Amino acid sequence: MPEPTKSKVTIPPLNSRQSIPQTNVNKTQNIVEEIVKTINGLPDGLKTYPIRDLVKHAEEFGPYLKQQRLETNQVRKFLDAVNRLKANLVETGEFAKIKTEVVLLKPKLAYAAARQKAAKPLGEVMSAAIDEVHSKEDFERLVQLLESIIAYHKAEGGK
Amino acid sequence: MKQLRVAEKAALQVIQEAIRVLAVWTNSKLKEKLSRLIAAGDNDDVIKKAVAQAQKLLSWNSKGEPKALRLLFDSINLEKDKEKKSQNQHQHYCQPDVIAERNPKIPYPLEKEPSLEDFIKLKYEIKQELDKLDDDRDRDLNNLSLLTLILEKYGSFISFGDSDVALIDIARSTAGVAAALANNPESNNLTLIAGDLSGIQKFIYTISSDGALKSLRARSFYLELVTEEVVQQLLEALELPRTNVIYAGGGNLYILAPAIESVKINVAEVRQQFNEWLLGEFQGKNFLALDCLDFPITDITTEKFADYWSELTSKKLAVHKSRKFAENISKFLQESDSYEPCKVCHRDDVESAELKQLNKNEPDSVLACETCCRMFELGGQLLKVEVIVRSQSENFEDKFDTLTFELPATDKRDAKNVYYHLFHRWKQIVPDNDTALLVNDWNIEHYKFSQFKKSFPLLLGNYAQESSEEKGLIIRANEMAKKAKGVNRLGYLRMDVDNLGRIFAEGLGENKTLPRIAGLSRQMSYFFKVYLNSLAEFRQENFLNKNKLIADILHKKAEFLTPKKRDNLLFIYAGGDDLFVSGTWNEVVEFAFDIYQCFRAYTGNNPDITLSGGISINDIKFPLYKAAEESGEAEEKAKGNGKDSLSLFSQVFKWNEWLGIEDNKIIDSEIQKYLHSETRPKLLGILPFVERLEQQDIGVNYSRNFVRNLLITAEIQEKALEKFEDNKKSEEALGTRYYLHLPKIAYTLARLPKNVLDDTEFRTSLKSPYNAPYFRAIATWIELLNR
Ligand SMILES: [Zn+2]
Repeated sequence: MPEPTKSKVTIPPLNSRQSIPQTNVNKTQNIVEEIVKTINGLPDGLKTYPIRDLVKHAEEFGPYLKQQRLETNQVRKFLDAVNRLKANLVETGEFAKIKTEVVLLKPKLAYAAARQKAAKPLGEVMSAAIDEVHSKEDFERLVQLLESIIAYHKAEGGK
Repeated sequence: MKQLRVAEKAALQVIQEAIRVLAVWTNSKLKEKLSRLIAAGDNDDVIKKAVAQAQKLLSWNSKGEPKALRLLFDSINLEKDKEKKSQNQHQHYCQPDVIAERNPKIPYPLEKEPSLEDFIKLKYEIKQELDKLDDDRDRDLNNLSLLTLILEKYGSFISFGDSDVALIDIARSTAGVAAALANNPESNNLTLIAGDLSGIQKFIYTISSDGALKSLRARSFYLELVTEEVVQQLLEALELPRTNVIYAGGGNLYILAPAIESVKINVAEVRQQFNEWLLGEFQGKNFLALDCLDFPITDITTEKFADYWSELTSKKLAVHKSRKFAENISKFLQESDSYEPCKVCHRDDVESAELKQLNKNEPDSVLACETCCRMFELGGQLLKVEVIVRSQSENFEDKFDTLTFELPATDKRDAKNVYYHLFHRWKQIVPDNDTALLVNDWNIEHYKFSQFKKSFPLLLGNYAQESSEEKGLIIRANEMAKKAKGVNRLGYLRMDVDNLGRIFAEGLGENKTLPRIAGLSRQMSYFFKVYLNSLAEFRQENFLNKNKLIADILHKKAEFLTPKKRDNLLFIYAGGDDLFVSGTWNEVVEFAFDIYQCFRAYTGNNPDITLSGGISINDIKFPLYKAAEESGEAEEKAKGNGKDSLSLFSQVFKWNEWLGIEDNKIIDSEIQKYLHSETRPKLLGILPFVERLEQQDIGVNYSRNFVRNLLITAEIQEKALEKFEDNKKSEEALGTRYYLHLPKIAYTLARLPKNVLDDTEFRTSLKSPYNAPYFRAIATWIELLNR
């Protein structure tokens, strides 16, 4: 890939570059609180989380996770479990069959967060979300939230 | 023959008076001579009275002067809401100009009234031309064809009388009324004749074979001549001059005639004879609906005129269409044996032994009937036709082909053979009784040519690229496909004017008069026949971007797409208000955008005058009739999207969405409200992204991955949206359409090379919810360009 040499010239001075993440951290620490607060305030389960808000939140949260040096293999077990449940639900169409499993997602996150500090913010957000999953629609919204976060995380260069 | 002379003389006198208006205006030496000619010309009271009455009816003021012409399209308004109506009032003028001899440029309107200086050049040219008409024997000054053509050439962009009525339209209308009155002086009525040669689509589009493109093109040419022949037969039978043809082309015709019983009888007889012939020739695939309607003479200058026009077209002709061949019932019911069908047109009444190989140069070519073989051969040669001679005699020197109409005898009319001889060069010796039809030709000298007794322009939308493999012939489908960018495919475009019926029936409000309806048809058909040829062949001179000023004046961002010319096109049919064009897929796509933008500018950006189009893209083995069907269905989808739309790659959007032109109207107000907090992206729509990526030249692998990811996202999005079919405006549906898939796009974008990501406009714009509906269209376009 050709490295554009010109753009190097226009890179801002080092100190100002460093200062950018600083403000971002403040802003994005708020993002965890903001998402959790939004989820806790939902009127009727996670399905009432408006898609637009969900995407907007993920758009901020994904890069924040990258900054925290989260790598997806640190939460691999959790992601795999969600994917399994998703496939399961597509197959059976019955939420009742995965209901218990959904509750068991939380310990997986707690386990990851305990081992890796970087997994903690995702753990906080997702467990708040899991608490609001009571139906098939809620679970679908959970998957949308997680997939959006991961997509934005990867878009920032996260692995 | 006396009556012919009476009607023709009346018309001639009106046209001479119109020429005199030009002569006085430009101070040509002809003015006195014309005055003498008109005064002395006829002591015949009938003619004098007819001319005077026609002039009075149409408020013709012989002492008047030509003035600036307001754009007639500005007067079109379909908005019923009075308040909105006033907002729609535009003010455009026509540039005082001359129609060029060949390939005239598209005349875009001005926003300011032309100044006196603008008229000076025109006046000078008119004077030059008129002064040349001064000969001893006044041959030119009595040549109705020539004088009418001069009026058309020099009088199409100046007004006479009402400010939105062109001199040519008021002159021709007045002449037509005078001619009709001269034949029937005492009557208070006139008759309008309307004809519709239906089944053209069926006839043309059922063809399925290689070589079909050529046959198809020849067929549509042939049908144009059938329309012309119906007109000729009517004028002959009714003894009327050409000025009485209000409009003829594309299977439609309108003629002004006297309200006498013999007209009705003649109309019925001509109709019966043609249908008898069509039945024999095309197994009933084509049918001529032809009828007439009497109306009070005084209504030609009132809004009622349009009512008669629509009553005739939509009611009376519809009745004929609903009981086709009722007058030819015995022939219609004749049992004929059926044989193996012709592979091209599927007729099955031809004995198998009579079927021949369509393409003699290809050993495994399909078997086709004689007509289809003729059409195939003719189609290849139709690259250049300068003159067509309509004749009673079969033999003619130097013609390269002849089309024959062998009209059968009916109870009322004798059998009659008419020949249309085709020539590559215009200069031919034509017997006095024959007619020279000069194709897309405004060269005055040609109409003065002493060997042409009668000559008329025949307008044909007939552009075709020449083959580089077979000189002098039309490009072949496989040759064209090779020239396509990216994937080697052909495109098929069908397009027509939205709400055309309403534009004619309601558009002009209280001004639905004969001269305006005539002007409207004339200007519509100019665009689809003449100007489209110019645009295809000389894009640089005709596309509006060339004239920066116009683009600025119109406050529109005229998208230029690829700046190259795009002439690898083959017009199959273009006329009236619609077209069917094939070509390399990428050029057809770009040509469609050109046509749309040029047409909108040409019609003064009137919001009520729009186009809808459909494009299908196929490889050359795909049967043509299916391609025609597909593009037709695509066009229907575009109409279904609130019109003013294009359907391409199975995606339907407004033209401005495809082009990426800022237009608040394209986004539904509810959606606008939903997205209001978002800033509008710099790039909006489809084309801007395709252009950027093409310019970046990102390499095959990047492009392939990007396209694949974009398509996958589009697919997931479409699937997710399926459940909202009934409730597209719910919060959930809107969120799904505009936001849910943005994370995937962000991820896809991140995989693009750095130079693309440095293009902030591109990156941020593609991630904007405003562009969420366009993923598939963008991806498909890029994919086809790079495959
Ligand atoms: Zn055939």
